[in-house]
Amino acid sequence: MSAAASAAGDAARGAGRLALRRSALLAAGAIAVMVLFITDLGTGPGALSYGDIIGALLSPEAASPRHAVIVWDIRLPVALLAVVVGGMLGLAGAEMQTILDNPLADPFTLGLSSAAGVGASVAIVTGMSVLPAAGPTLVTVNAFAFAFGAAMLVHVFTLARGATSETMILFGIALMFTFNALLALLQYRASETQLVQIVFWMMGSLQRASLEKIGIAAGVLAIASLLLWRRRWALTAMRFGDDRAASLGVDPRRLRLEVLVIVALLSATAVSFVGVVGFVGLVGPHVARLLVGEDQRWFAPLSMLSGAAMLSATSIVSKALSPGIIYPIGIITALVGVPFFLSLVMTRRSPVR
Amino acid sequence: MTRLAIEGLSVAYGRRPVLRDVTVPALLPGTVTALLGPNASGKSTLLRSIAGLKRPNAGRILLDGKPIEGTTLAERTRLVRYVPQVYASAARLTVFDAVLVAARAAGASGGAGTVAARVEAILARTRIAHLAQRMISDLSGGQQQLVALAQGLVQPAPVLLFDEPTSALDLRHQLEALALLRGVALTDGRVAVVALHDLSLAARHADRVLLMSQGQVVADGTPGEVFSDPVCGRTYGVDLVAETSRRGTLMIDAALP
Repeated sequence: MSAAASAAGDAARGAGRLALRRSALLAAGAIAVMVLFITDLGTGPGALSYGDIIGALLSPEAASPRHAVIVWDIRLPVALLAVVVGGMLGLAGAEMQTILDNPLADPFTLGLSSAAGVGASVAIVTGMSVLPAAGPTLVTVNAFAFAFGAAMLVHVFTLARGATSETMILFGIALMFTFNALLALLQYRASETQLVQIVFWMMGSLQRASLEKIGIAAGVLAIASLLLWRRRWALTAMRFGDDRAASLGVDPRRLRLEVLVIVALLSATAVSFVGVVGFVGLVGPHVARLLVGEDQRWFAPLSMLSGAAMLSATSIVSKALSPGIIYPIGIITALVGVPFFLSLVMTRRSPVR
Repeated sequence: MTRLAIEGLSVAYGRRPVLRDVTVPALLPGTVTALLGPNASGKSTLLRSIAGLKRPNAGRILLDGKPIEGTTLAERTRLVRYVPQVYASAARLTVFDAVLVAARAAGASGGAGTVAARVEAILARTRIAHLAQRMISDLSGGQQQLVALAQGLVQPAPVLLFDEPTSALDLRHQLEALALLRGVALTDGRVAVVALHDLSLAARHADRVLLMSQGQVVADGTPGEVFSDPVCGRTYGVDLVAETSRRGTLMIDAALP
């Protein structure tokens, strides 16, 4: 065998070993999310042992009604929503960074959180809804509609102006300032009670969780994952810039617009259910990038897992910090995530290989 | 046998014309054509138009007599494989995965094993198999250019277009890269068009030279014909002398007039 041929054989074996190590990393991420999820179930007021929790989960009829209510109506929805929404934010951030070719982008870069805030505030202050029959879900529906609508505005503007990452970011920033001003206006006009509601909504909370919301969020996440998975090679090719991606047969502008819709759906759903949770969508993908690089086959799922782990850990800390008080998760995410993130940045030089 | 021909191609960026009525009679399979000309003469735009990245305002691009304008970008990359000028990329991808993506992005045919084997083969052919597990972002400019070359060759296409594939390469790698391109063109019967700045490289490796100036082809012929034509020196604004070296290769000596 010639030297070149044996080097090529080495290349394939090396790639195989790498895939194995990365799969192991994904599995470890999944286990970490499971452990955090179970810990989240076990954390909170009510003095339940893990035995009580497992008993209530497996046979709700046999468990004491108090245990069943705590587990099924309070802890399980919160813990599940943390995992699903964390995964949504991690994935949305990863793809926003990919299509904007900017590692500082997050799911809310294009003004989506401000728009959601305006939507929620309109509901709180005026009681007006975009859907007439929204009823008690008024705030959620409005937040979703405004966030998704904002993304579609960016979509339409960039479509008219040639969908480069630059025009997309510029329109997004213009939109963010507009919505921030509207948000301030609504807060200025709001009564004291309404103002408190707005501020708390913006801080983010998992306590509005319900099994219905979890079902919707999980459905959106599943569909988005599928659509993104089908575009995994094209999205990876985007890392070489628009021209080289195009030379590989990927239409960068079309892909950017398609993925913007998917990301908007993920982010708008997440923000409407839990409020504004920063950091997860920015740092989740960074953790994934540090560990496996930017090949979408590993980058996207690991971004999702690290987002889920981060929000799950946040949920635990928000309950455990001081007994009887549940802190808003928007405050906790950064406090929990930053030390972990910094330790990763300081110790790791390059992705697993 | 695939022939590439260009008929009356005009391209403009906004209102600024970049290509003006460019016609190139059949470029033949198994040959390497060097695309020469000063900066901003339209070389890259011509390659981008053939590759489908820039829509022409007028004219046709014919493959075996059939116009290829209507094809989608993905379909076009199966006919025409284009490697743009390479700028340093900060992609956190291994070299192996980068070339795999190049095979897969437009929907490669074949199972995982087949495609991986093709990636391996092309890494060996471009002599970067030893870099397979290195990150793109950690490579030098020249190494990245070799990766781009491998990305361009991994998916078979009858027409190969390269925009300054040797600009960041050292002397030996320049010769190796162009010899490889010529070998691929010859053995696999491809039409290869390479934009170059180095006239001596063109003289050594090209079968045919197209000289461009201000969006038009001003000379078309063998390297010997084009380099001895006074239009060549005029186009570059230099005093050109083409001489045959002791080894029998054409050497270009340029001086300011």
